[in-house]
Amino acid sequence: MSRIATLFFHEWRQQALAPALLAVGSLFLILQACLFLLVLQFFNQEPQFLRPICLWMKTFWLGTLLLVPLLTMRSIAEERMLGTLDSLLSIPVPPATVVGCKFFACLAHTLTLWTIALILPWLAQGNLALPFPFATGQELFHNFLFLALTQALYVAVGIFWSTVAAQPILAGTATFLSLLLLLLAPRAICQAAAFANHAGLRHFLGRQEIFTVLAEFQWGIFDCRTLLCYGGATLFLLSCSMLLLRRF
Amino acid sequence: MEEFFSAKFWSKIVFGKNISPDRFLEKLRAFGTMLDKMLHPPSLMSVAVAVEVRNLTRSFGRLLAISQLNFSLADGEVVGFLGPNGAGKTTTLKILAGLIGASSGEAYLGGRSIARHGRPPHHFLSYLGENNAMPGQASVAQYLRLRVRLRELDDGDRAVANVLQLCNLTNVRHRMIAQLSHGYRRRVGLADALLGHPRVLLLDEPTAGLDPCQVGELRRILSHLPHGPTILFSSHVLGEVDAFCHRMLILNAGRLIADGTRQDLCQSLLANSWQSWHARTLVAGGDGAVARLAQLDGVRVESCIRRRHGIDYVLALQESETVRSNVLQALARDAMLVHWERDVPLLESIFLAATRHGLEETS
Repeated sequence: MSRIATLFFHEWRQQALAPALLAVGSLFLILQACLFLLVLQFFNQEPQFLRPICLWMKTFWLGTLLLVPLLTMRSIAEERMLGTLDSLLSIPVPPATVVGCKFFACLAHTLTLWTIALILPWLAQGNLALPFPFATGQELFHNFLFLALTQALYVAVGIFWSTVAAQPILAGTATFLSLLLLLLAPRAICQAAAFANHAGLRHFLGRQEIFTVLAEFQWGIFDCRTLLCYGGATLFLLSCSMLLLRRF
Repeated sequence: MEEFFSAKFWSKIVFGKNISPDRFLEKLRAFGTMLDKMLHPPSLMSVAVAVEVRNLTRSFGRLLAISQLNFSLADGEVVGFLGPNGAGKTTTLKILAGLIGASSGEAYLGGRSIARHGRPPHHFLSYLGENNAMPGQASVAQYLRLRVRLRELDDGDRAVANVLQLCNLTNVRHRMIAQLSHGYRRRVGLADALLGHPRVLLLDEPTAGLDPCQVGELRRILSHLPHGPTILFSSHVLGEVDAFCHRMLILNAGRLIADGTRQDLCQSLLANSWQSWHARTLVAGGDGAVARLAQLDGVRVESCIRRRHGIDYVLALQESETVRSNVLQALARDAMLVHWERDVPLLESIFLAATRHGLEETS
């Protein structure tokens, strides 16, 4: 088994065995179940033209704000605090391998939890005898692609702060605030009067605004510019983390 | 077209001015040599000097952690790295392990510059850190197998079995690391560092927090390594370094203030300094011995206490073999000498003299 695969499985196992993941994962799934029940209640009261999954996915940011900071904050900051990062780098394992493996291990856990949250209502919809279908398989897939793209960027933000911060709690707080900014800032800037004359910026931010991107994915529209923007930002943050790993 | 192949044309392009063809060819040759050195660094297996440090300096903001360090370690040499807390020992070891970079100066491992060629492969160097951190949820064998795979060693199972046996860990190999005592965890750290028989071992305070039995065990392991690696051993336990190392490097406030064997350092740092000694004679020689001692050069009798069966002396002697032998003769002429030892052990005296000397130089 190659060194990268070994390190990835080690990281994955370390995170999977940590009680924190169990706690965070349970909280996340309880939150998603509550949101799902609220959406169903809403649909029972007023028939909608949308599928329940479309409305339910609009609350994805709640799950993201809970899951990503708590999962990523421990990845590098805690290892540095304990000294296990030094022991890893002294083998030597290149910083790119360390950052990459930690990123993919965190992303794997995040997407696993999102997959459970998406699949369970879809599997249960037959037994619940709903008057409306929760989602088709295709819609489920489109929403999953959206989650994969956005969660990759958000996990990269978490890994970046975990690399820079000296303490896990600082990394978690910085990630939470950064994600809040990423989720809210584009819409706020587009609507702000101060940016009324900056048509180009407003157009760009309007296109990257998270709920616009979600709507596009739900309609099956995969815009290359969006993919480039999110993918590029993810790569940029990971590259910064690799460069900064030995500096802090 | 002819112009294209001329040295004049290329010298203008490369250097922006005309230089003579000979000079151009000379520069080209120098560039080729540099490129060759970069692409084909010296073989790690054929070097006599395992570690070399030239003008190594590292600062953290305004704090100068180490300054202009120069030393080298021959292949197979065991060297003690001493210094008070904050002297820069860990920083130096971390630079050699490739964990942090130097602000200036060069560090060479096996003749290869770390800055230019990167850290050498794991089979050349191993680093055992000060805090010896390892994941607690893995068993000893699982952890060592992981490290073997990360080091990409051939025949990993045999390598793990070897180090388990060498470090006396076979009976705890299935225990979780979190359940092990500090001494056993140190041994696991050492077993990890010994995987793949590295040529250079950097040990940062490996005996810290160990009881005397465990220290003895660690020394036994290190002195019985079959491949005889070069060891740079940082420690605060001076007796350990004295018993185990061939040579000592003493750091103080980031500067190398002493480098040599025990005898070298004793001669250079303690020559003619006054050292306190304790002596006890069994049969009371009376005032004769005190009178004889008072006549000797380089001897001061600090105290002389009469007991029922003899006398206890506290003497201040100038550091010299001749002075010591004269004192021994004077004491043993009409009494039986039963106790003779330094008030402060030799290495401690050397260490204190070196650090004091360093402080005076710095101020």
